[in-house]
Amino acid sequence: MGKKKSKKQSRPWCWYCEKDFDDDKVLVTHQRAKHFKCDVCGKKLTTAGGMAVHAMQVHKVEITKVPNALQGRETLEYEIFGMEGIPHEDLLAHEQALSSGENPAKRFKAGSTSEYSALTPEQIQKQIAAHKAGGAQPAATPPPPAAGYFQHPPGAGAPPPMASAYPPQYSQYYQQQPQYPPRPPPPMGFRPPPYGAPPPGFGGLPPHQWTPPAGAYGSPAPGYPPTPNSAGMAVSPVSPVRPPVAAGYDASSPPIAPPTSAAAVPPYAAPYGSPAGYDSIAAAFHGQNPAAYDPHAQQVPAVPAVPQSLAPGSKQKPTKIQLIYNDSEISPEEYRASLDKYRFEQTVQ
Amino acid sequence: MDTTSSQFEIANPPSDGISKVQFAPEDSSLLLVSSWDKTATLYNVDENTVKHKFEHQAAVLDCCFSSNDRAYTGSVDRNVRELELDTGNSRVLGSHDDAIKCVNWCSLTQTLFTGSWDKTIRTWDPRSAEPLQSTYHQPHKVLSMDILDDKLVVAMGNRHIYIYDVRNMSETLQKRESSLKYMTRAIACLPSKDGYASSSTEGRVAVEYFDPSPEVQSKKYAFKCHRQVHGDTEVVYPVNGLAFNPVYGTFATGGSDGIVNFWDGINRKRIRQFPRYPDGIASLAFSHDGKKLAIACSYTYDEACGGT
Repeated sequence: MGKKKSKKQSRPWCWYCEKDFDDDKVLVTHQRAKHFKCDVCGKKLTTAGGMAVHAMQVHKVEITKVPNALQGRETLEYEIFGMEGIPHEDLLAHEQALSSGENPAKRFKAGSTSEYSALTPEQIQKQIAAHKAGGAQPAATPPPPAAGYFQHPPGAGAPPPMASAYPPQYSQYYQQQPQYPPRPPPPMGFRPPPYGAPPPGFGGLPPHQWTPPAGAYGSPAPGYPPTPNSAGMAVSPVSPVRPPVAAGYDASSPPIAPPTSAAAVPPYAAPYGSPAGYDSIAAAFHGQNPAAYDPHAQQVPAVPAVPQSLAPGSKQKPTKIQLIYNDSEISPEEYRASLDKYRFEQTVQ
Repeated sequence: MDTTSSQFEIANPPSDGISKVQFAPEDSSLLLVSSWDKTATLYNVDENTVKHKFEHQAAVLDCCFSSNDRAYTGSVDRNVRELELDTGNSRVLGSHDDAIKCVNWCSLTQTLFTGSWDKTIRTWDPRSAEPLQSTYHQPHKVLSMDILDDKLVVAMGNRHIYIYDVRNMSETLQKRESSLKYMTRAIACLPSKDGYASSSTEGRVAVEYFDPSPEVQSKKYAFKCHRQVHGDTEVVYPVNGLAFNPVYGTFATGGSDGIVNFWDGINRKRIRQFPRYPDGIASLAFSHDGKKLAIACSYTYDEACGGT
């Protein structure tokens, strides 16, 4: 037993949800999929801060809470990567909980969250039925994560408006975003998105890069898997007590821009359509290992339905890198100065 | 060359590639341009006229002002030259043993610092009968330098970055390795005076801080820029131009891709991107009041090594 316990103690665990994993790699994969994934386009980032910056820069959406995190652990304040960056006191608390034989996650369970997987299919069905009934969501349910999640790229196929498919608290955001056409109606079997995780087919491109593909994206059905947690969201509409990802709009959290102002930021990169538009300056790296924090290294493959031509410099990760200048010894000026035209002979003097 | 607010092109540009653009320290109408055509040209950008053209024996690699009527150049002809901007006369202060890549004026000590491919930094007092003050040997060829107040940062080959106190050049304050993995193209001190930014041939810019304490060092960062994706290939351009706005603290980068980007280094955001210029950006300079930006759009001979 003792052996088992010590083994368990050494298992890497996720600060955001107190789950433990076999090794660090799995932990990092978990964090990227569950906690650092952009809700809008599904891009997996490396840190919570990276995700927030990505959402801000690419989608103009402010993210204040880490998705799928336990209550009190949704903060973006810590830069956590795997087991790195976990506040010392939490590390100690976790170890203590383990050594005293209790499940560290338990203390978060009471009155907080239920994982999506904990729901029975009946519960889900019931919720969907309630959701479809229109505005049947319990009044206590706070608004979705951020209005920006409901921004749709202009020209993303213009389906007939069907705002009634959404509860009022959803459609209010449409009214704030009149420049965007309403979301296409969900096809049969379409589940209400958990707090607005968009179908992956809509996430392939950030809004300002969207080239109007004339109905090419008219229906999200083909790219939309039947389960609502496809976006990696464990958020469940079932549990009204669950602190919503969006609770960031309450007064207690740090000041954040209202959704409308975030959306009002002009997409300055738009006219140029350059891939440089995705350079995430904030995805900072430290030390000598830039690749580990490289924002581009985490780009998810593009949704296959998106033709390359529509997506200049899109999520498609370039497989080859061509350096225009690749000489670590001699600078271009030295090469140039050695040309006949520029060569300087001391004898000229 | 253009300016930001209402962009215009300077008439009578140099006849060959531009190596450097510099605004006068207290006069945003004076722009000095050094060029591979063996000249340094003083422009009045308000009138869009050439005030003086200074001939050299070989290509001019760098230029700097000391005041509104004095400037210095470093050239492939190995000479350090003082330009009298009022009269159009010039004189040679002295020379290096190889081409001079960098000239920087230090207003604190009223000395001129020159960096050369001969692996030395030399200091010059133009008022002295014997202008050459000292020679400081460096581990590698000097590629870029910048001075702000008492700090001199020197970017050299082999990714060396040395930091000096201009008042005590015999000691190197810090010897660092660039956090960028490729050759440094440009280096510039942060207007906040607590660090510097450098750019590399591999489309990347790093912001670093002088203070070696871990808290401060943890603030350093780097980011990619000046890249283009063509199909499955990402083309990475050198970042040749790097200039801070002395008033707002934001900075501009210019790459061989012909694009100028504006960055907010504190909030780590890109503020603006200019449409592609017809050729690579060789150099950038803000005027002292932060109101004008000179953009040298000029081929930088990047195909020298053939690329990969």
